[in-house]
Amino acid sequence: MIYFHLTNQDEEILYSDLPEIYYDKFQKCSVKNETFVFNGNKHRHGKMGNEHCSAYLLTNNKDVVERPRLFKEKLKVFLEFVPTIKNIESRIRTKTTTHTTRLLHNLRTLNAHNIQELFNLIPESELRQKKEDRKRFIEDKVKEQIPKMPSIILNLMKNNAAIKMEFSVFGKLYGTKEKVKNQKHNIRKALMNVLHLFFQDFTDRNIFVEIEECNVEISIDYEILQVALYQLFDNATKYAFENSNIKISFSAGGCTFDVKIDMLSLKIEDDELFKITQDGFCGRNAKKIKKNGKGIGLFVVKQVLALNNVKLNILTRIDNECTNIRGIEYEKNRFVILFPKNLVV
Amino acid sequence: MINWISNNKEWLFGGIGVTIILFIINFFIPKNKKAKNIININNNNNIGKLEENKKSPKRDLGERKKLINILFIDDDTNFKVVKILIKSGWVNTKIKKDIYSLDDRLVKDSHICFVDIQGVANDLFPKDQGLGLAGALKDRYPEKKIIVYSSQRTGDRFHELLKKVDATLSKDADPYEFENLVDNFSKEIFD
Repeated sequence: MIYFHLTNQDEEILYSDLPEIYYDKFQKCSVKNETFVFNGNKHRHGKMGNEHCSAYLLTNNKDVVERPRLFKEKLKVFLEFVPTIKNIESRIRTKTTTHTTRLLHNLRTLNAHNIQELFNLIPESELRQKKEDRKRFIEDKVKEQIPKMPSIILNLMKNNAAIKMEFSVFGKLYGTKEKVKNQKHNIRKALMNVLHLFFQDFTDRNIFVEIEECNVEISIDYEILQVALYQLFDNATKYAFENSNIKISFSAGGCTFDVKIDMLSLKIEDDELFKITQDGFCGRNAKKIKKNGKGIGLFVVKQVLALNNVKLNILTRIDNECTNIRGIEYEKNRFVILFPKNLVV
Repeated sequence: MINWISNNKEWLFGGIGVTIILFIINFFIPKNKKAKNIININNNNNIGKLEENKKSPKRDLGERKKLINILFIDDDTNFKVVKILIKSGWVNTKIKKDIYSLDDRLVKDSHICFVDIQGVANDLFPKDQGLGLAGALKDRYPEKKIIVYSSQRTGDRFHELLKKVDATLSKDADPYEFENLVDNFSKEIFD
């Protein structure tokens, strides 16, 4: 084995895989290259430094122990590579921080919505003052606002689901890259589970969703399916034209089973079609009506589905018509989720 | 009314329409009473039928719901999924804070066993806790479906165990996911 131990000028450890039993050797070493016997085995160690850090190398590897010049070369290379290692470390850190910051920001926002929803129902100030039966007080407040309760509950449910989506996306794509866990699911049931979260958004905009009957079962990671459907429906609530119909149909293609979501929605320009699933891209028309998000929705859909070998296809202007409503162009767009046949149970 | 229905038939019989109707119908059915009755009937009849069940031919969902014994081992006995499963008809679902022997009566009687990997089996497996318990249960009772669930989903030991048990779930999985697993496994058990 060859062990590395790297410290900065303040003797803080920057990197080390040196076992504790050798700490004493490290402390006492003051030369670039020397051999010693430890526990009956011959070892070689040495220290070398520059203005930024000090590198220490210890080995019991026979080839290296017997070749002082090779050892010296290794120590030198190790020290020379320190800036590169630091650079890699900082790049990894920046990358991870970007995703973590995004996750925290989104979770905080969703949590804020939940907090506000609850305190809007039961004012915090009154809760603070009431000294007698708090449960009774809450009960009365709820009774007073019964008509609002379905909306409040639906909002809480949707926010909670959104929080779960955030965890899933992070877990599957960025964090520890969790493994795909397939289970058998009825595709229509799974779809309805997500769709009902958007019930309120669709009814508010007078959009009717029509879903074909289907009994097909698919072996898939439920979290992946949930994330993909959630993002697609979330987009639909924003970009589908109000008073329109969304049609969801199922069909078996050549080597895939397809879920088609057809809707009259914001025009996707031809040059945008291939960019729309890229990280951070927002369509021009979405910006025009000021409903653009951070441009990660479809990117995430494509990425998570790929983990399960599932594809997303987007077909624009499927009926060759373009509807102009108050200066905004809408077209019949089709979002197709293609499940490879081997996932169909 | 008839006019209204015919004008709105597309909407009514589309997915959402049906969902709403079911929701409304559900609302008017006095569920609690019904659920209580089922629990009473089945709790009396269902102990020790494990062997008999295994040889039975295919059964429909209603039957499976009554015959399958589900056990959760979780130190958080307020874990509401148990109540949700009972409400949706899986009446023989029980939760136990911890177990001290693999021969525990409830364990022996269960067909499907959910094990929380944190905070349980401190006595039996002080080091590996639920992970150790789930592995040992699978070794001892290969015919039972063992599912582990937790909020922690990484680590080498966790991945080793994944190969051994029948499924894993995240603690924040939707009740649907728990029920879907139970449904899938109950079919396998009675096949």
